[in-house]
Amino acid sequence: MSGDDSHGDDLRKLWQTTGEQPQREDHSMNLRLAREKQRSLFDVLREQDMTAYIISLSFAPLTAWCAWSGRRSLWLLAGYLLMTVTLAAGAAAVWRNARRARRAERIDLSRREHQQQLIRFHDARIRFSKSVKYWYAIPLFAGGGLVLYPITAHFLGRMGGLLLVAGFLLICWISVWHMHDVRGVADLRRRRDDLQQLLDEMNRTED
Amino acid sequence: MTNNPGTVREHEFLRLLGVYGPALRRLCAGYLHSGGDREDLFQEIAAALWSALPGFRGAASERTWLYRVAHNVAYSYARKRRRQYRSELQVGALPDRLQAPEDPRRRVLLEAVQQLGPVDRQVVLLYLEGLSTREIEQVTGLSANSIGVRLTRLRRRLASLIAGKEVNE
Repeated sequence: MSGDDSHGDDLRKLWQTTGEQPQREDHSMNLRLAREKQRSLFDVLREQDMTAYIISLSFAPLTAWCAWSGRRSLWLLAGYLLMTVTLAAGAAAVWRNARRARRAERIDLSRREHQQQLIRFHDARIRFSKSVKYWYAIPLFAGGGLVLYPITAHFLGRMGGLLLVAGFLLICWISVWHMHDVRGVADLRRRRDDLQQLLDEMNRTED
Repeated sequence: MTNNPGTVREHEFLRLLGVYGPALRRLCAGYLHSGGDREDLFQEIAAALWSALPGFRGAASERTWLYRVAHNVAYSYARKRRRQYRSELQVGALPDRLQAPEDPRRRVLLEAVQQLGPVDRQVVLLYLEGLSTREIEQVTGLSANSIGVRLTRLRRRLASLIAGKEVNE
């Protein structure tokens, strides 16, 4: 037996000595806790965009009702309808993403495969976050613009009203861009880099 | 006796924890210092096993499958906790079932394992639990060669740390 083997056997024996452990542990409590902790779709949503989901879902009926109420004005009808469709699409997209994430999540992969899975998941989240400013923010704010423009134009004239609405919506759009593209993506990238670091460390010893 | 899938799953879950519970507790100790964190991690692992159990088809051995789940959960949990309480990990406060082992050599071994990098720690924990190189390969996704190189280095390091402890006493 080589020196390394005997060291190994000693280490294993030492490690597996668990004098402080009760001989038999009652795991019925663990079963109950495991059932409670089982991840639901809402847990996945909570980790992702629960706020965006709730906002979209609660405002969509409101804007739909506003569209119905203001149906005599083409501006209001078009604006509120655009907002309703965008909010509903936003909620659906967040829901779909969370479902996909839950279905794709497999915890019983090897460390390397699991790490790759997490990196793919983060990449998808980054792509989604970066796309929000286009497919969500632009139509939502365009709808808002259609609603606001007749009011501002009434007080400030066509050009004044247009400039005020455009300026306000631009600020809103920049905020969304900053929140998703700058802060959100930076946070996701940090986590992704962390995951990539471990994968790189695993790959380094393979060379 | 019933063949209700829910009951079968429960029996299987309780059997797994009965067989591998002590090993999972040691795994938690290898990842985290604080007793409270270890308990939480144990429950996270139990929850992950409960969720993953219906998907276990026997493609891998039961032991390999269980360690895959446990280490994936442990790594993510430990990473999250490190971010949250970086300083707390240095203190290592709460007592737990595996803290303050009677054998001081075991304490040295435990501390040495906790200080390893994530990949080395996973490899060495699997080794200490008695998994073969082939099984460690299946759990980690590392090649047998890489595992061999790591284990040779780590075994020597751990053995010399423990021998140093014995000399000091």
